[in-house]
Amino acid sequence: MPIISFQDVRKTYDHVPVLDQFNLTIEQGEFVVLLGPSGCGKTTILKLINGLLKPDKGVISVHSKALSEWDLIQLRRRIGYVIQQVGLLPHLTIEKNICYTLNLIKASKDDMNKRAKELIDFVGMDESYLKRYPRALSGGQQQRIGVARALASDPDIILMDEPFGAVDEVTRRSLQDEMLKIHQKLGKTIIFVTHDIEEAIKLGTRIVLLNEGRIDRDYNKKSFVLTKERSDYAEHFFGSKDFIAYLNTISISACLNKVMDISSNHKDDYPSINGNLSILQGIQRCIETQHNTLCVVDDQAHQLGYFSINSIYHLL
Amino acid sequence: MQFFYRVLQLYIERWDFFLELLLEHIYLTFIAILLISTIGIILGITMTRNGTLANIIMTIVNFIYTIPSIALFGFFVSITGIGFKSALIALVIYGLLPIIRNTYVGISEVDSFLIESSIGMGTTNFQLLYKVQLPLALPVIFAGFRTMVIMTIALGAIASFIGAGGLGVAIWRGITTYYPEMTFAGSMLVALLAIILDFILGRIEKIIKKKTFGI
Ligand SMILES: Nc1ncnc2c1ncn2[C@@H]1O[C@H](COP(=O)(O)OP(=O)(O)OP(=O)(O)O)[C@@H](O)[C@H]1O
Ligand SMILES: [Mg+2]
Repeated sequence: MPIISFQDVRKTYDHVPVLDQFNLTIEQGEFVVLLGPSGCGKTTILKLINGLLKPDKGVISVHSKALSEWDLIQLRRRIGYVIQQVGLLPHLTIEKNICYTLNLIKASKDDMNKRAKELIDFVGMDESYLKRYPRALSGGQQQRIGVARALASDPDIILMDEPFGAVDEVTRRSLQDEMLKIHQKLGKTIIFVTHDIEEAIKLGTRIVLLNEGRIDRDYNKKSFVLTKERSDYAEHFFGSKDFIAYLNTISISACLNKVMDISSNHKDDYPSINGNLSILQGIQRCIETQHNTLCVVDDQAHQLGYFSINSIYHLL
Repeated sequence: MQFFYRVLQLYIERWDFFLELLLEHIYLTFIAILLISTIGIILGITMTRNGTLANIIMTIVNFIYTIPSIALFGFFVSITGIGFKSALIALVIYGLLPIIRNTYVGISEVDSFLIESSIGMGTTNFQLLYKVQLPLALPVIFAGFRTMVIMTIALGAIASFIGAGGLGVAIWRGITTYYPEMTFAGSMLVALLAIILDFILGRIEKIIKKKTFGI
């Protein structure tokens, strides 16, 4: 059963359609990235899911029940929502911000306090921040709190609208890692909006490329990158950046040659590389050292196997 | 110098008279302030939920504000007669503008993305009002409240001219009996009351601002 579905949805602003005949089904546990340039309708799609916008036509269902049959207030409390501007309430402490939805449903003080501590820890911040106000936090810290707030009521769906747009590269990467952790650990269904192909490839189990409200390309990550046929639009939008990003996300140890017919006394002839690094870094190493085979080691320098540029194509 | 000395003497000799006027003044303006705040905030909130209504109310209130206050008092005397009631009504109507406008503007100016994300997290209309909109608009509303309080205290002096009591009585008596010390003594108390309240409210306003916006 899909957890979210759009059936022939039409959405107009002042009679101008933004979505028309739009169909999309999302399964439980997917990390779906909605990718596309500014104005293609990404935010509109998210707001249709939590009922902030109403479709002109068609049916949107969540948990197999049409939105028109949901008590929207109750539904929204079960859907985490992170907006681009983060939107922490400036007059509330971080603790109260994190517990905003719990407070709406009148959870007990002890529960809220406990949950706030749990969550701030989970997003990698110190408990001492709980008593502060949002303005005393950096942009990246606020984004983390935004994520913590969305997780507070333990929703099974999380909607994220370009949540990491306004932070520097390093912070963004660590926030992205946080999201991957959340997805893997908690098994949430995540709908994540971005216009950054690298972010999309890094995070999504499935990537949906949008072009003026229509779906141009919709595959799981691997097929998204490796399916050859692509529209001019996709070609124009990201060229080969998806492929580079893909090589960047797969670790060498996921692409290991366990056995190779090299007698072990020759192994010192090969440059070594840490298995946690990405394939892209492996290829770079091959080029730098002018070898087409590398010896892969773990953090303790134990040999794990080999990485060979000749054989990656059938391992990818 | 002689003049101030005589004023001081007047205060000392007639302290019970002035105290009574002061209490009357505080009583009248306090009730007016209470009514103005209640009506003004409710109207201001209603206006944020209905655009046409907002325009209508704003036009009316702005119009009333262009009427000289004396004329307004005169108008109500002709309807509800001389006394406390007329004075109160006129004070209330005249004082509404700052509260209505600031409540309306304060709530309207809360960042729309805060409103939207709050609704998106499952906030009901009522919760939105008291958990998000009112707290965030509070500094602006309070600034309007402060203006209104000072204005009402000053206008309260005119209210005595239509028989509502208060410090205006001293001012009025001073004028009619050509007794400038009396007029001055009454005016001074009105000014003092206004200044003290303005100072206290200013302090509170700062605290509210700091709590809401951190500045
Ligand atoms: N309230 C509105 N009134 C009128 N037009 C709107 C409104 N909201 C969005 N639009 C239009 O609908 C289209 C899609 O908007 P949407 O916000 O969904 O885009 P987006 O993909 O999220 O873009 P971005 O990456 O810039 O956030 C845009 O052309 C936009 O101008
Ligand atoms: Mg958007």
